[in-house]
Amino acid sequence: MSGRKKTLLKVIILGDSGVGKTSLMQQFVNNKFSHQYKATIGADFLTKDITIDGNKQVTLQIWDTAGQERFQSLGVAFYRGADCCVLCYDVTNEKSLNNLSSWKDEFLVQSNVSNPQDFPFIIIGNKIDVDENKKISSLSKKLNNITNNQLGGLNYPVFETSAKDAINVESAFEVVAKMALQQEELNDANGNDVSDDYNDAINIHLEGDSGNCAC
Amino acid sequence: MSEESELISKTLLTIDKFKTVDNFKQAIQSNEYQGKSYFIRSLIWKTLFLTESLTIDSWSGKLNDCRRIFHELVRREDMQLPWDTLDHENIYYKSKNVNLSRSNSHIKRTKSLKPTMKLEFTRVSSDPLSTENTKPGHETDGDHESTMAKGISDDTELLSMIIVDVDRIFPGDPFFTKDIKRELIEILYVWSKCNQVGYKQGFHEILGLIFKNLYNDCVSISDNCPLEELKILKLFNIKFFKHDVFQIFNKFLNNFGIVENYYRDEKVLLNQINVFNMYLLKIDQLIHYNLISKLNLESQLWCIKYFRLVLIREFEHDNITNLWDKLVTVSPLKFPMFLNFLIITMMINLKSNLIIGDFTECLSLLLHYPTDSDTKFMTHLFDFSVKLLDNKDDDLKLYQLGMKINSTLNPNLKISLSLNSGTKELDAKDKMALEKYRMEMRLKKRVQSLMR
Repeated sequence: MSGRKKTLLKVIILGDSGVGKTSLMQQFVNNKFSHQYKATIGADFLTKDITIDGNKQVTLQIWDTAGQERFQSLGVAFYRGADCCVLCYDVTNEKSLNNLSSWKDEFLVQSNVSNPQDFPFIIIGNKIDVDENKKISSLSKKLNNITNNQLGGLNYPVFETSAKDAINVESAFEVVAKMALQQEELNDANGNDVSDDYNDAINIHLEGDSGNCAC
Repeated sequence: MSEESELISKTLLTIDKFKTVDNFKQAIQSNEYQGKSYFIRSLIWKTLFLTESLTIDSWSGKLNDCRRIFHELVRREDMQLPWDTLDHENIYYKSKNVNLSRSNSHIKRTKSLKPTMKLEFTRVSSDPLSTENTKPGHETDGDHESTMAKGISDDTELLSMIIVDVDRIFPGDPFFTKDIKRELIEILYVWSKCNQVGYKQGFHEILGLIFKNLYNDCVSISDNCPLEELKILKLFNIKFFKHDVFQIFNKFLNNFGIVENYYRDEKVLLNQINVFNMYLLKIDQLIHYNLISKLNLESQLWCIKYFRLVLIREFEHDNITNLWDKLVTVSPLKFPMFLNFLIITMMINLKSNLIIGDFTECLSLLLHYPTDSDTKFMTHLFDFSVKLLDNKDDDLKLYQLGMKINSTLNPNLKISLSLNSGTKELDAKDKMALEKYRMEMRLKKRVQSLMR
């Protein structure tokens, strides 16, 4: 009955309103794109079972958040136990690029992760399907500036995606999954696996000291 | 019969039937008005939010007072929408010229002809040439974020923020054309500038639903309309439709405590969620136990959307519209508490899943509430919530009502509790009973899925 416990990896997607967080999640989980998703209010989540490196089965629990929301105390509940954080911007919207570091800071403050220095973040620039002339000018230079000056010089993986045309979405989330798994294993090793609470999908256990029925 | 005379006769029939606002409210709550041949949705909303009376002679003065507010606001220079400062690629971009030629109000026209300092400023910042000029500087300058932030005025930022949401309002609904969206944007912009809370995601859908639901009852009034008819038709005058919607939206958000409890301050929202949890425990201990005690599934993970959008996304259009018609008849001060009871009743409706599910299953279900509720449940939902509200201070009554709601909504759910008071958490024996049930149901589900 118990079976092998599937690893659950919690991934948080953050970024400004309208950069395409919901679209990215939908494209990855359901392989579909709709031209307009409603604004996310509060948060939403979807899960997807995937195989990492051909043998490791994991469930990705992907949290899509509201782009206008800067949670204070409420954020704790959403970010707790996260194994990877995806910072999103829109390649046509310079402000969303400039806000990446504030999203990162907010995440670290709220999530209370044990290893803020090397917690796995990944950066996704979405909407590369749009016309070249609409894109932020000298994007890579600006992105470099932000990585060096605001994100602590850390080389987080960067992906440019199109949720609309399904470009790079799969590969970005593959990296997300790998990074999240590493983080989860690190947490396991340190004995502070917070996501255990959530993972009783398979194990049905009886509380109390007797297995007999109580009727 | 023309649209105008139909509206008049329906209005007269409604007034004749119910006479007072209190009777009218009562009838709406007990489904006696809905479905009648003389039903007019706008009459509910406009009576409750604007005229507050079914005496036709009092309408004119009330309406003038209400409409004056928006009328005065949109004439103010600081309320002019800075369409022309938007990015030129933005589909809502309008140059100043277009703005002038489209404006049909004489006053507006003269106003916008003499730009203020602010308008001058925003216009300059959006000048495509000036943007070009500053770009090379940005490339060499590593820390340009602050420069950028100053370059875009707060007004433009507010407008852009509203556009991002309104543009994706109720996707697929043909009612929301670009022109309608522009009207919504204007109302939201003016409202946000007048209210300290500003614009928050979610306001757009609340406004959108009100706008759509009341739009159909509007008529344009001809100049030679007889005075007696005018007295009634004035209520439905399309010329003041935006004025009316602005006022209704404003009162709904503010008087019903929606902004105050769910949007303004996170601490207040959290407090509301704690109150909600407390009542869930009083009314349905099993759901509370499985979600909150056992799965550690905090309510804020899913309920913010329910509160902020007043359940818009949890029901399909007709159901939420009919429910809202009833909601506005609830005393505004009691509304936040009432919303708690609605949500708890909605949860009891999903109970067979909520008490056996794991974290992911329960959360998915709550985040994606099945929108196919039938009308029978919608009636139960409102009626039970009214009863819960009436007994909100009597824990024993709440517990008993919880049992009653369960026996109506979940007649086949057989799990017995030894509890006789609803204020305590489950004891060991009850937990055992629940775990046994959980295990049986989960095994059953598994077997069923394997057999398929």
